[in-house]
Amino acid sequence: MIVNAAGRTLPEQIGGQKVEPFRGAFATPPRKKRLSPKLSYVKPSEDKLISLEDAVKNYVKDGMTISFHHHLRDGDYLVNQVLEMVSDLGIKDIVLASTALFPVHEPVVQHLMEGTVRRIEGSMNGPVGRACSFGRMKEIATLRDHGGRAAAVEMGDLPIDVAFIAAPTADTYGNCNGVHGKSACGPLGYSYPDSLYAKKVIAVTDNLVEYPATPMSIHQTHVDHVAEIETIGNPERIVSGTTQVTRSPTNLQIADFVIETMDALGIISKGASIQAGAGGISLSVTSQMGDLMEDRHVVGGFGLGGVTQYLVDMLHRGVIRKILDAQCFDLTAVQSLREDPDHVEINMIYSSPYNKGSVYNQLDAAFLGATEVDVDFNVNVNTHSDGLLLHGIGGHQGPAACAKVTFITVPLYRKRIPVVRDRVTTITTPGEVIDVIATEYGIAVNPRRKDILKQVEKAKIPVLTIEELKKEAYDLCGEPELPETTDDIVAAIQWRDGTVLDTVKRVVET
Amino acid sequence: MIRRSRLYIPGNNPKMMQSGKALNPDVILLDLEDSVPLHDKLAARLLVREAITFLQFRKEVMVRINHFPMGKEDLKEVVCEQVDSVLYPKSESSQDIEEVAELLDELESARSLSKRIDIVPVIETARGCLRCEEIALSPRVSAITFGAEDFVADIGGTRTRESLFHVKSTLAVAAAAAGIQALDTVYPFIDDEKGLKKEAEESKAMGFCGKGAIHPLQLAVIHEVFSPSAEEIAWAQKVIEALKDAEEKGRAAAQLEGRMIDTPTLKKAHRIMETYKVMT
Repeated sequence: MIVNAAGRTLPEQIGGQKVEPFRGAFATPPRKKRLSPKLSYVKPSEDKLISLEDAVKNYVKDGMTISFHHHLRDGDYLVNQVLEMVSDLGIKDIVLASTALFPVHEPVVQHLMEGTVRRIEGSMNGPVGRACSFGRMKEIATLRDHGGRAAAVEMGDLPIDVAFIAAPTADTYGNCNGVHGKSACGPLGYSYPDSLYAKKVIAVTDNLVEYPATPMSIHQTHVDHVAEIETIGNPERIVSGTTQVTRSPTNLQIADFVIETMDALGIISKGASIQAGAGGISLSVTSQMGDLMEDRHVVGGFGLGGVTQYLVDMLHRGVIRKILDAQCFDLTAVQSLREDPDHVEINMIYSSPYNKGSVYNQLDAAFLGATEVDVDFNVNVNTHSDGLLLHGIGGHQGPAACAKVTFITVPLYRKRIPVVRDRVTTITTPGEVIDVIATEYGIAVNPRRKDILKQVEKAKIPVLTIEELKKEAYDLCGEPELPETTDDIVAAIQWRDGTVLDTVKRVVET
Repeated sequence: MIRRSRLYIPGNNPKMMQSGKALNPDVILLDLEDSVPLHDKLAARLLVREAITFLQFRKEVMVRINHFPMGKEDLKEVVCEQVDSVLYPKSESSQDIEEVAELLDELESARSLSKRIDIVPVIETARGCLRCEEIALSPRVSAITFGAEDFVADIGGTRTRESLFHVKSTLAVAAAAAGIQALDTVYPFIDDEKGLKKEAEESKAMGFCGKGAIHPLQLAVIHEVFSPSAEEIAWAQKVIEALKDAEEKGRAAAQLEGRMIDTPTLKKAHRIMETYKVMT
């Protein structure tokens, strides 16, 4: 057994692979070269059009890794369509490397049970994660954050055989974008690394247009074939999280504490750049920050998302200069990306820790959620207190690691279960990169950040220690019970550099 | 005692009580009266008692009991060390208050409490309005307030600025004369921030020092209005300094920025500074 730098005990091997333990947020330099896929060529007279059925039949074989993006989130139809074809062809033991799966992908559970899919490498939100927790997957799942996945694809840790790219618009020669067409969902950046490194790349569209399609989010030079189908998804369902400012008084209080802390730290100032996500608290922070900057006639730098109408509003009010868009969380964001030249699409290689400068390194502040936090400031976004794996890592680790100040916004307890606790069920993001935990009872500053502690002294907010917050939670709710699990590992949680941060254990079914 | 805001929390809603602990009203007001249906009164009494003792609100805890005789049962259940004040609805005479005070005497003594629980009478009827002065001067009364909806129903009117002006003015004057606080009623439109601010500002100008909140979203506006502004604090400091100088020179009055100031101005300045000191 190995104990990693986050204090978690890991086996020497997981799924037959030697475990590289987490050594610290920036302690593991790149140890590999970029994967070099074979060069290919297309002759002038060759046609790239293919039916989806033929693409699956010709290119997907037993044991292969196939990938998809999740820009359509809970409105994605492509994963289910392709897996049904794979299953009908009797193909087995697929590794499914979707960037994320959502409740709409519940049919994947059946494919796991029948052996069509043997493993998932990617985020699992909802029923697929639940099935994984109960040991329905033949092999052990791997979860990475967005940038970590891009790095894994580039390094060859996640070699992809066939990438299926749902394209709201594609031309006949493979140029794709997500801003036009009936299924417009915004950027296509999650698939960009796959388009560079997969052995075969199939663009699948429900809006086939004449050459050339612009803008070119995915380039013809990387696409082998284009398949036209009736529909790739329902973009209305990209709004699959909370996308309205919270009305909950306690959540609003958390947002107020974040704003006041940011103000005390001088973050609400000229050139400030923020990572803003979905979720009622985060949106309230974004909205209030926009109001304050407008009142003070301050223009910030860029907003990074998960883009919602609130970030778009900041751009259109002139309080930030640019939006760098990795994902749209609502249709206002999609429209803005299509129409506003200052709203710019980025791809996931920008998020990777292993390149010549991650976009996250430019962030002043990030405000992120959690299912649990602990007295070492470790954060869990994957599992619930019952041990069930119900969420992916998403874009949690990168901004947390790189932003000058990282806030975790959480209620002290949910449904009478403490959120702030002695030890998180799963470590998604290590405490060493978390700076401030903001709850409705006040904030706790990581003792590593003495500079922040000094600056918030005069702010009109309750500043507590993390132990005090935990005590308050335990006084109100009692000590939380530990989930009932076996020793079997069902999933490995990787840090963005590919080292193993934690494992998820199989939950006992009651 | 600072009472800029008092947040009404239904006595039969444990979730709101827990949330209330995290929020920042000056007074947590646990309600056993109008927000609790008749069939829930007994359970609410027990719940309020548990919440008061278990949650440790770390701010003033006020309980709105029912009018007597039902209110007697409320008091018997909830009187404990953690209760700071009792809001007594439909107060119509000093006798009403004396009755409450007598029961409090008895319960405090029987339970060996180390404190004396305040009474805050609520004027909600024409009779109460006419006897405001004697109510304000009754034992244990540290503040007085009114219920707008019950009051206009009693006089057969509707809630307007004009229909409430007399009772508000009477109450503010009676409170000042008795040396106690005048507390404004609640503003019923949760989403109307502008209306809330306007009403609170008018009440502050009339002499009120706080206002009820029916939703936590109203607290920020109420605190903004009833907290001394930076300008008010600066003004109060100047007044105190100017009159101290004047006193040293054997004068009772002074000039500040072209205006004569004397004892009443000093009283107002001290009140502003006291509120500011408690806030900080």
